[in-house]
Amino acid sequence: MSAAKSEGPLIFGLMAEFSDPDELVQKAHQAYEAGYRKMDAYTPFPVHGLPTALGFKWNWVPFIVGAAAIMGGIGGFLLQYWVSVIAYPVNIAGRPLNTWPAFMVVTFEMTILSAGVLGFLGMILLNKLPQPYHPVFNVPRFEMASSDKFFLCIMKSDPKFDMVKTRDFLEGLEPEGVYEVDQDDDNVYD
Amino acid sequence: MNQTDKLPPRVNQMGRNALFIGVGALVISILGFFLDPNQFYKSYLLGFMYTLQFPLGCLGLLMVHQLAGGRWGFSIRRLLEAGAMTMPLLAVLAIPVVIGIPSLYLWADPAAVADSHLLQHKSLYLNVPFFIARMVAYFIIWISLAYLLNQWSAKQDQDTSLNPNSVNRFKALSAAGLILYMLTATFAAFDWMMSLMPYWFSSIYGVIYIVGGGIATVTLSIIVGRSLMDQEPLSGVLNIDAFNDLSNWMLAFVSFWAYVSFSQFLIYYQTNIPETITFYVVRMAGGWQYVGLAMVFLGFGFPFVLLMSRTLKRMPRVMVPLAVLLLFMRWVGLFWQIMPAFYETFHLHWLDILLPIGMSGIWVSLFIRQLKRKPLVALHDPRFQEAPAHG
Repeated sequence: MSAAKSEGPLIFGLMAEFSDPDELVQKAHQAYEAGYRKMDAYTPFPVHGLPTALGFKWNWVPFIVGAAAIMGGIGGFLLQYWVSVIAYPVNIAGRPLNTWPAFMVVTFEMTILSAGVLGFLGMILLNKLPQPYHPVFNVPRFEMASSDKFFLCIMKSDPKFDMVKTRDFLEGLEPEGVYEVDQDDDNVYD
Repeated sequence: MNQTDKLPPRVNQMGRNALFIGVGALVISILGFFLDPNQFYKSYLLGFMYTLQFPLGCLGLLMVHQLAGGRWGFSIRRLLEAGAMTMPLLAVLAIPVVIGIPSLYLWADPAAVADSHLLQHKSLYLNVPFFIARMVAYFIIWISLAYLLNQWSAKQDQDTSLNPNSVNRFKALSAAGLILYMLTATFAAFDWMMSLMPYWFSSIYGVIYIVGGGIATVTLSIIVGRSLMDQEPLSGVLNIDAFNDLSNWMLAFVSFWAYVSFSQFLIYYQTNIPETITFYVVRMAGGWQYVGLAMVFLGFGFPFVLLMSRTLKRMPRVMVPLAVLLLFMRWVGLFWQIMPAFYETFHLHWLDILLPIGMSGIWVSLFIRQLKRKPLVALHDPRFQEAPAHG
């Protein structure tokens, strides 16, 4: 902390502004080709192909959904099995106690419910939400990210990050502007 | 885009092989007719219902595409049009079913009707003249829809104006056509398959057959599309994203098929009334239950798990074998629907295999002939320009 303070304000990264979504995809791809990995892009609406251009490969959400679906299905079935076979066995129209076809509807619904709810919660947590503060909001121009501008931010934590070289690289992408993203020294993000 | 598109040699070869195998299988099957005519008609019905699901499914999916649009539809529209255009062949193939009515349908046997109060009550609907009249009506409706959609699409190829209103008649016909289609295809499944057990009935039975036809159509599109997607002009439209859409269709139809099949089963299982449970009593005993279990695991479970993965859905070398498996499981499914109506214990005759191969072989060769008659990509559809981006 003290070492960083002597160099001036803490830096989160460098941000470049573009005005066209396709341009952003292309420039993000160039940055990936140049070896940058810890970066993110901010757009007013979902841009097709942007995650791939940033080098995004996979995440945990499908695995969370899959595990939740299996657990929900097994749990839903076992609950009915326990009720009908173990806890309150009642002979209904001579059917077997373990009337598995009839259990399928609730089993199916529990599968979907668990997958949906846990998938949603997992997505929220993996995105580190809820997050009331993020350094990118320190850039005044950044509010345009929710109207009509497109931003690419290379983070300082990237091994290849260098204040001078990375700025030169971003300038070379011909953006509409390059900004330093400051970060409050009592609330450090990396 | 204006050059006449030649099919790749692989596809032409597929058409020739199919004709050769189809004619060969049918010629040998005629021998079976002289050995055991009753069995011949039963197996023939299986072959007929198996082959019918391709043009019927193509027609239905074509109307869904014309009504709703989307990238997937432009990639296979010409396949669907060609498939629907083969419907007259099925009208011809239906003639032996009519001749075989006495061998197939209990309600057509005067002695059985005289014995059964229930069949007498049903004879207002289940009688031979009305059965034939309905069959003629179904084919007139299906052939007319297929013909109009094909003609208009061929005209659209010539029309360079790209007038957005020119698609309205496709939409209007498809909207009305889909209603007619669901009704006629449902009643066709009632007439030709469900009435094999005339005491039993299920209102969702037709939907199960129609959705099965959807599986058959999408698997066919994946197999033929795979052979066409490597070269112009289809390579520009049937790219890996559109192929992914087709795999999604396969997932949707397989899931929907399992859903309606299980719904029917659950309702009868829970109701547990003697008249309505007969269908499953026969099919869950005597060896038939293993055929049913094969459908559950190979017709739904295994494909469903594979189709969960986006990576696999984008790999033609995985999807094509899966499509072949599902085409085979369609045969297993129809075999399980039809044959237990005649045999209480598991019974597989060589004609059950040979006749479906023969009839669908001839169908495939006609399908590929139809495919050659128009460019492989529909030209000048005003919706086409925007479609690739929106999916």
